[in-house]
Amino acid sequence: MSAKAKAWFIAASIAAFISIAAVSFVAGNYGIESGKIVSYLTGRGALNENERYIIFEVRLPRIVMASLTGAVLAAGGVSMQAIFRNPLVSPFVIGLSSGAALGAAVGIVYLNASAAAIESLSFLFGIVAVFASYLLSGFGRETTLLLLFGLVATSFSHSVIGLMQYFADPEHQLPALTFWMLGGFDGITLSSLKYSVPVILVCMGVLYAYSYKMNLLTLGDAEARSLGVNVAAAKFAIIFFSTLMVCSCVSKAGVIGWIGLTVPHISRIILGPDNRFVFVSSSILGAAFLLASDDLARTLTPGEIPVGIITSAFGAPVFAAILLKYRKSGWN
Amino acid sequence: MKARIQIENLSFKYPSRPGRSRSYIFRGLSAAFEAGSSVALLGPNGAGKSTLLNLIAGHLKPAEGRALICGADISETPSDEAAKLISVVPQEHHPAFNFTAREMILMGRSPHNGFFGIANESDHEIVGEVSRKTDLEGLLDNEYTKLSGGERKRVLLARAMAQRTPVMLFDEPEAHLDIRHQHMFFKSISGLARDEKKLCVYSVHNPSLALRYSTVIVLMDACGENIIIGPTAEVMTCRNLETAYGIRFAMTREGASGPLLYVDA
Repeated sequence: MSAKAKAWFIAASIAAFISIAAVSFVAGNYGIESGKIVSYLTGRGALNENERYIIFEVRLPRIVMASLTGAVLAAGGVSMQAIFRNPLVSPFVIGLSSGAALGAAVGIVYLNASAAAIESLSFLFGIVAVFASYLLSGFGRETTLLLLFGLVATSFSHSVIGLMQYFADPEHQLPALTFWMLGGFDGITLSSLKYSVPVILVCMGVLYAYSYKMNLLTLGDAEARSLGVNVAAAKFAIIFFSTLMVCSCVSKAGVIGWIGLTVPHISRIILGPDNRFVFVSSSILGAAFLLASDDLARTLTPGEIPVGIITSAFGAPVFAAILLKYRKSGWN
Repeated sequence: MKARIQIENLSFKYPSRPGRSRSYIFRGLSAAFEAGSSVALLGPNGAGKSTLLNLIAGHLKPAEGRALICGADISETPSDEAAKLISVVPQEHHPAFNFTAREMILMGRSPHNGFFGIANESDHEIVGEVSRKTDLEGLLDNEYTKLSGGERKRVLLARAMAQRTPVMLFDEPEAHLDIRHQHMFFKSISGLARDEKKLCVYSVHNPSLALRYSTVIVLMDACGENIIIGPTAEVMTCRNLETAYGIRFAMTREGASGPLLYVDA
């Protein structure tokens, strides 16, 4: 695919994302006609107080956070897959999601903490789990060792979470814990995005700047070094910033699976392996996918389905289809 | 820049290796190699060929002494500067992602391009030029992972040539190649040294290839203690080879292109 065709594909993805975002303002159990929103925005009509509240205080923050989280999970997958030279890796497999879940569980079950405190705990535990795996594996020198320590962190966190679920109060704590483990954007407010949005944007910017170095790192450490990459610094920066941004999202929205794995894969099938394109396209497609999933999560039933269930319901079969394609053609 | 490698009083300490008695290798090794030479690192398995290559590349840090590449201590040189002095042709491999041959060769330009690796007109011209020299013109848009072993090796050679460094290192260039491709590959290496005044250094298992194509030999024995360095004709004697490898050799002077080496055990 030529650079021009790649740019067109990315432009088309942006158009698709914008359409989904437009639909997201209208979709919902509280019906507001699209014509009313358009005339309000163009200054030719008015919305009542309820309608303004729904659109700007409920739907807008959800749309922002679901889009950003989708972009972050997909871009985090792209980054980790590059430095671990493995298309099957995502930030979750080196212990991030389970660490973050453990932090949230501690907050919910033992501390009866506020939403903000639960968020901070899961953020901290997620970062600690990743860096514990990173340090134990000798600063990530051995990729296999890093993945295995990630597995250790995951397994340990899950046993502790299991124990807490067993003892949790089934009236309040257990449902809160379950909803968190399945992910969702219920209750996101504009003021709660004040800190995470700038953090996420900075992380995405730094990682995108590293997207060409990611190409070189996929060849292995020694080769990347002989092509001029400061391997230790690049690896640390990529792990640090992708962990930071994924943790910011997971601590707000819970564990949302499959995006970090499927979206980069689809981008690579269409655009080839150059991360300068794959990073951008995955971010946009990830945002569109999670935003559409969240629309379904809040409209399919009168209540709210955890969005992680929807992303898994779509992501798992899509990934199976990708694997079947590989079964025919081989991994390369 | 004129190519030159100076090895000064070099020693290397292995991290603890179970089952190996020695932890130091190359106690106080000194040597100098000049532009236009084609240098073979020769010796039995475990003699330290790869270790010496990695010390010259700056991938390993010496315990004592230093390796100077064009005057710069390579273990103190930042990797982006080092990549303008030394290029490395690794053994063939299977990357996890399917870059095209063109993208792989363009990566050789990355030390000269910015952080974001934007290639300009002259980078594309260089890719065209090195792919002509390595006979890859028709394959540039094929996926690297789908090429044959010989073609992949030529892509890695082309990438190192695109890097335009005075010193070029090769890790066992004959590995995974059939005998015809082995000779073609060594011809390319000799050509780079002779015609473009590069300094080429490679580890090699087959002494016949070293005898035929190298101008300088570094012959190590199994424990890396006795290292003989000198012009090919002086070092490549049956006696020296027997001491290094522990088997008998014979040499005839009858070959069309110089002496022929046999194992006579």
